Amino acid sequence: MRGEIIFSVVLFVVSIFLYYVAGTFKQFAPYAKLGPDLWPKGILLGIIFLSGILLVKNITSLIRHELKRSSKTIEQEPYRLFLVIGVSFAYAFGMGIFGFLLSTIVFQVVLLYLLKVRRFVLILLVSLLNTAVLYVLFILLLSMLLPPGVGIFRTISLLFY
Amino acid sequence: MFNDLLVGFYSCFQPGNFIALVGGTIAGIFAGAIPGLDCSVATALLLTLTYKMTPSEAFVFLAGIYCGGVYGGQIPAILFRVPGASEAVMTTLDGYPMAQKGEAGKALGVGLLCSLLGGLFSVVILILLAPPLANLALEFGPAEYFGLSILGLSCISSLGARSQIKAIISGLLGLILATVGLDQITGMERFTFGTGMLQGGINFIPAVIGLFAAAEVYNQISQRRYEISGVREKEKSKRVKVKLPSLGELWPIKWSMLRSAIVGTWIGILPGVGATTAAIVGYATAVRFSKHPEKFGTGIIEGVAAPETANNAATGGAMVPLLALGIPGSATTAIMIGAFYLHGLQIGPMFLQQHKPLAYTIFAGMALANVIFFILGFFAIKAFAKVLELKYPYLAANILAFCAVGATALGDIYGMKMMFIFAILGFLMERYGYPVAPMVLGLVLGPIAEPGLRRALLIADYDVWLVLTRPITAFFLILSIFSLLTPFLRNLFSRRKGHEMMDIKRED
Repeated sequence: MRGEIIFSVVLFVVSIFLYYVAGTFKQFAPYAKLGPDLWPKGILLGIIFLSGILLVKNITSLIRHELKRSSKTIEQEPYRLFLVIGVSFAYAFGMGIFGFLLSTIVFQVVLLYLLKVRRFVLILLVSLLNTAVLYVLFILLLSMLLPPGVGIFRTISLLFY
Repeated sequence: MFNDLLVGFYSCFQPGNFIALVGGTIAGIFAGAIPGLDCSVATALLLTLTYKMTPSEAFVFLAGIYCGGVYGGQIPAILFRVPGASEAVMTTLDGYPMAQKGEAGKALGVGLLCSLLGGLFSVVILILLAPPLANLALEFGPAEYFGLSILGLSCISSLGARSQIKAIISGLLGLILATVGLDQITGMERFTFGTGMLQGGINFIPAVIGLFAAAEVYNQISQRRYEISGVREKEKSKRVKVKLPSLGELWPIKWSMLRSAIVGTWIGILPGVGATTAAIVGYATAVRFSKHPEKFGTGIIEGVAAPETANNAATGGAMVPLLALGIPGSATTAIMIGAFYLHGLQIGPMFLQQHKPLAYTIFAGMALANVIFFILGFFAIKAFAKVLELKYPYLAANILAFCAVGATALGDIYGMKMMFIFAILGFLMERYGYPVAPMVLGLVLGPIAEPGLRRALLIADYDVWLVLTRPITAFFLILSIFSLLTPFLRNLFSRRKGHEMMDIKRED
């Protein structure tokens, strides 16, 4: 419930901020009556109004639950998910430096370890196999350009491209 | 029309198209059979693979995923009481009890045959309905397009089964995201915050990959799915064999099947509502019209036939508004719009005129996809059931890497980062009860609705009343209000009915 309230608050506040930003859009004289801000402002008003309603409903509901002392939120190992998300972004940033091949293998090894797989040979095999499948599909068959990385990593990657 | 259809079938049997169709159908069945994946996730995930395909290969591939995916969900639903996809949720009610009675083969056979019949019925309706509807829509001006997209958006309230308000917010978020980039009318920058990356707007494909595929992995991880080791060991050895029902078994339920096919196709046609709703309504209709409603849920053929006919009938139905009007009929068809973008095709009423051979190839591909999953489902069911033994961590690693590489291949590293941002957004939205499908609908319909309204107002010299009272626009807007209010009124009515029932009980 608390998470839902925080989500509604974020929606509410971000919408107000974006409404302000929409007010700063440059106007183009011939279309002054129907400027680029008209449509976004209308939509943002809708979000502000509806997220406001949700916020009030959620807070009322939270107070009731607090009074009854019946609500218990069960968080299920959130740190593991945070780690997975963190690793995902590290992968997104790392791909530009280390290249697609190396970063994809490392990403999957770390991800599988985080998801409690402890058979290291299997982890390595699965990561290599998955990366090989992606390599065949995207680089060999679809001839798509995937980041080769920089420096030495680029040199190594280009051997396979 | 007959000649066009023949050309479509001829095109489907060209080697490249046929391989794509069979490949898509197999991928769809696997995706449907694996819990945590479904046809919308698979479509988002595999969309990038269509990049180097010809348009006809790409669309028959996606048609295969769609039809195969909706069918595939019934396999674990019947065998293990685990709906592989939400479309198969009603199939568990009678399918699993049949399996427990030792009639798993028959349940799978009924489901397979009804999926085929429902799917083919809807393709016939698609072929008959889409071209005249598109011809009618050729008369549409900006005001009518605005009305039509508002009608499409109004259906978002039905996409949020738990909370209509949240579904509407999700749709509005999609609309606001669609405004990022250069304004179509004035060319002014909106919400770019000075970054060049956002000038081109939100890249649709990384966004849908993140919202549907990667977000689902985060969702499963948050629910500790990685600790569930595939399907229970004892069930691994289960002997699976499809047994088709006899004509004598099917004859008594012929009207139920026809009703489900009609209901499923109709629900599919409604913008924003897809196969899951069709299966629920198809099952409920079968119960309502049955002479023995009490037998539903105990493992009867009709209980499998009704939802399976209806959910597959929704596939062809959902393609009607997409191909005729450019308005997606379901979450999967909304994602399919990405393929139109990829191949530089303008989706809308002109599509059927300008790309007639391609359109009829899609029609034929839909029909053939149904036949292919029937053949595959009959002969290769064991392979599809085996996939359930796959442990989730391996699947998660594969899906996330595929999402990342797919998004990178189409939009460089920026596309990948965008994909992960949308994955977090999609995960948070699902966690707090905001359905993501309306957001995709908003992303798709925003660029039609806004310029439609503004151009119509410019033409009408800013006379709002003149724009809104154009007959077709007014018709669409009235329908939109009706569509938007229906779930609220239904909730209100059922609550009031609940109170009345409680009052009666108290009086007793």
